Amino acid sequence: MFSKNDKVSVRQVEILLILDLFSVSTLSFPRMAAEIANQDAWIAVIGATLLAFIYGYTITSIVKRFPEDTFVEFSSKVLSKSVGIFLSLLFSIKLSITMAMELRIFGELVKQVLLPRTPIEIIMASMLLTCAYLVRKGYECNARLGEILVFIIFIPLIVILLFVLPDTDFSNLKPIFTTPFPRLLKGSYFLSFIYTPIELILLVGPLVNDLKKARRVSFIAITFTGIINVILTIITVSVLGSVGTKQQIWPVMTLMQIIEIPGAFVERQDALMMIFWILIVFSFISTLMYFISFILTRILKAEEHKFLVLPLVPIIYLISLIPDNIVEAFNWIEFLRKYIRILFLLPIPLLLLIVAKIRKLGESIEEK
Amino acid sequence: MKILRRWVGNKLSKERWEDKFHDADNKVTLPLSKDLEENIKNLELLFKDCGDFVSRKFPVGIHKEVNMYVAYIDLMIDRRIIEESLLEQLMLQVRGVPPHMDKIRSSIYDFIRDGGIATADIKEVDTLDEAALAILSGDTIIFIDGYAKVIVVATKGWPNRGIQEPDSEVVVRGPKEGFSEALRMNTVLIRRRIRDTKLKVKQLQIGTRSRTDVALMYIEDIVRKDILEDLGKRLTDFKIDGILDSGQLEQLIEDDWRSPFPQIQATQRPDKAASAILEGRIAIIVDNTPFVLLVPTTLNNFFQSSEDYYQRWSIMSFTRMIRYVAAFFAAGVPGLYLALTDYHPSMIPTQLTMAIAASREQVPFPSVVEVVLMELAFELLREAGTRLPGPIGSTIGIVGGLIIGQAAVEAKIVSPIVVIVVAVTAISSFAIPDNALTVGFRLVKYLIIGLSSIFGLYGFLLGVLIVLIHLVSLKSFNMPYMSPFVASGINDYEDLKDSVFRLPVFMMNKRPIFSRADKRVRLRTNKKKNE
Repeated sequence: MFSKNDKVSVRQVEILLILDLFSVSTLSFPRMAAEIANQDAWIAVIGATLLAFIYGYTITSIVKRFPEDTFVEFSSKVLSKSVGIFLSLLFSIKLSITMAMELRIFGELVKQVLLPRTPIEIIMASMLLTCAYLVRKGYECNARLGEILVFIIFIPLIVILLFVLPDTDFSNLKPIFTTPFPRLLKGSYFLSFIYTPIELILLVGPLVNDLKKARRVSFIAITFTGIINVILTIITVSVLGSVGTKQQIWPVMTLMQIIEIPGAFVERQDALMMIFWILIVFSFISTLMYFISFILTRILKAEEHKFLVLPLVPIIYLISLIPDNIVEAFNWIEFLRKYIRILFLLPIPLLLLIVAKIRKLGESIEEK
Repeated sequence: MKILRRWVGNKLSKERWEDKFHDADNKVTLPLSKDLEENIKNLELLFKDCGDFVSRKFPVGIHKEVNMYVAYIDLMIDRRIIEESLLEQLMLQVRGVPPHMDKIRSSIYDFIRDGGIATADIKEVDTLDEAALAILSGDTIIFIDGYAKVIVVATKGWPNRGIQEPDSEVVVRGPKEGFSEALRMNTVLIRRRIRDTKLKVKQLQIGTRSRTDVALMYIEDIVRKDILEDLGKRLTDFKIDGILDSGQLEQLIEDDWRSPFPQIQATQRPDKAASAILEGRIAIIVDNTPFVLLVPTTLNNFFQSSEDYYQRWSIMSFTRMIRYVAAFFAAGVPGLYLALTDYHPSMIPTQLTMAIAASREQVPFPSVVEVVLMELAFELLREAGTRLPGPIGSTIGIVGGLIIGQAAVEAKIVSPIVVIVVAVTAISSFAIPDNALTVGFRLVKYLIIGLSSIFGLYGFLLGVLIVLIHLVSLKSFNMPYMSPFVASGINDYEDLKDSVFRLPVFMMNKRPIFSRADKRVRLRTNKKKNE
């Protein structure tokens, strides 16, 4: 049965991916899209989604060649072992920094909206410890929790978004296609960072019990998130206008504050939105934490990942405390985004794929 | 569970069971002999100082050649069987048999066994241990001079409570029978509902001193073999003195003893047990207790009551949804109240905030202390109400709830809104059909209160997350506790048809995941599509 071998089903991976993709920068990406393309922000998002399909295709191709291996193993097989371990360490460092920054931004947001007088260290530490509790129980528990959380998060979110519609002014989207095409392309490239969590498929191989459907699953996840992102961008720009969107750090939060739900007794909806945000970020951080410990487990060829989780907690905690304020944290993310994050999305998988084909390694899956 | 096992094991190793007559498992080691006098002496030695041990030695045959010896425990047997079918036969009828004594003498044992006893249930045993066990179970044993074998006659007939309405699982529509303390009566109640030859009753004995009869009932071709094996292994994994109730057995075989949530369901209703068996689960019936265990169990099972299936789907779906909401309230309302009023009063409509502030103005304690105080007071009331007999118990409920609560509010110890919060929590916890699950939420409530009072809404969410993580990682006999809410793709989402809402009966045509994968279809209607 499904519980004896602790593998997750493909559907669960799909749900987890959706959750992860949704969380990276959902609150703020309309701003970045608007910065690049003004009122054509939604077109940039569509472009980013198309790019993400390419990433997904590449990554799932390489993963399907090595069904039982994670990135650690197949990079060691395809390229040499030391290069493989170096890349894996790089991967884990990148994930750690992402996780630490995400944690930091989350803490700032909670502090700002919910708990102004609480020290941010305690907010972050409590979230980290709860994530550690989940991660110690294994990936299957993560998957099951994701299944429950996805309902709790998405259904109210969509319902709340419906209430924004009275405030939308679609004329804010005009004129369309005024942004020059190269700029749109560059913008799409920059924006595709929101689909970065796709790279986690590189690691998920031995945990899933039916890898053949991986490609379809990743496409469904990207499409679903893509649609939501586009809708979100359209609504944000049409409500706030392209200039207004550029001025808010977190446009989606501002959106929540504008909504008036008639007859509901909850008045500060942005605090309500924080509930969903907390759940989303929790899911994302615990996924990242699991994969970091997973990579390290595979590098060290250890049996269990549990004992690596607890040492990770203080490390991530300290990293997240390094930036002095939220602007610096954002700068870090910008830096990561520009130079490093694309690495694992396209060049490295492509490289591995080409070398694997040349060296005829792995199971050749010419038929899909 | 490991600690429980170790404790039990340590206790056992200190016991000096091995004496002259018993071995390490408390089984009698005295041998049976062909000499009647020696057998009688051994038996009387075993039952020394037992005032309720009744025995009689009498001769049989026209010339009273053969001696026989009958023994039983007073009032455990049905005297009528002994007197009419046993003694009357042996003493009177057999004596009247014409004497071909030589032929008979050589096999007088077989003669008596086959022709002399007029009851339907006779067994033959050849150890003194089984004979002693038979006496202690309410059977009568017969020793015959010259033979090292014992005849056991089934004569069980001790006083019993009979079949009564179950007091804890009351339904408006549905059968009103409840299990009783006799194992055989309970298996009969289930048998009447499932007349399938594949319904098996596997019996074993647990407890070295109590030798409690435990029966596993399941349907052979529906049940999962791996769960059955796992259960069998768990039942023999420990050695305990005695089991007095299925609750002790439950704690010894459950998956995670640390969790506040029960992983095995107990029921007093035969229709619920029969329905579970039809789904592919296993019912564990323990002698001397009316509570039958149902294995494996998921969270969803605790929200289902028998009535859900006997009434129509729309009202029952509504009731189910209320139950799930009630479960959330039972754990979350005090924490939510604390979080909102202490940390985020801007989230509550202004008028309500003013009202709450006004009512809390003269209360000397901080909110947390108020809430915890009222919760503990309510737990006290609940406990007192359970222990007090009948009418006094319900009076205390009214007196305690209304009058003391009102007085506390007027004395400004608590504010009225806290009384409302605690009352809503308590009522919600009673709305969950199965009592065992309520305990889990009652305990978890305090964790959420603690976190909410420190971190506000963020703490409330952390508490909810911690509880969810725990629930999601629980397993009951390798079945995830949270199915059908997770991993329901395994059974094509069939299980979801019976969870938060209950779809009409003709839509639930497959069994849940408890049963074997190839034996899932249970309902086929003849309706054609365009009728």
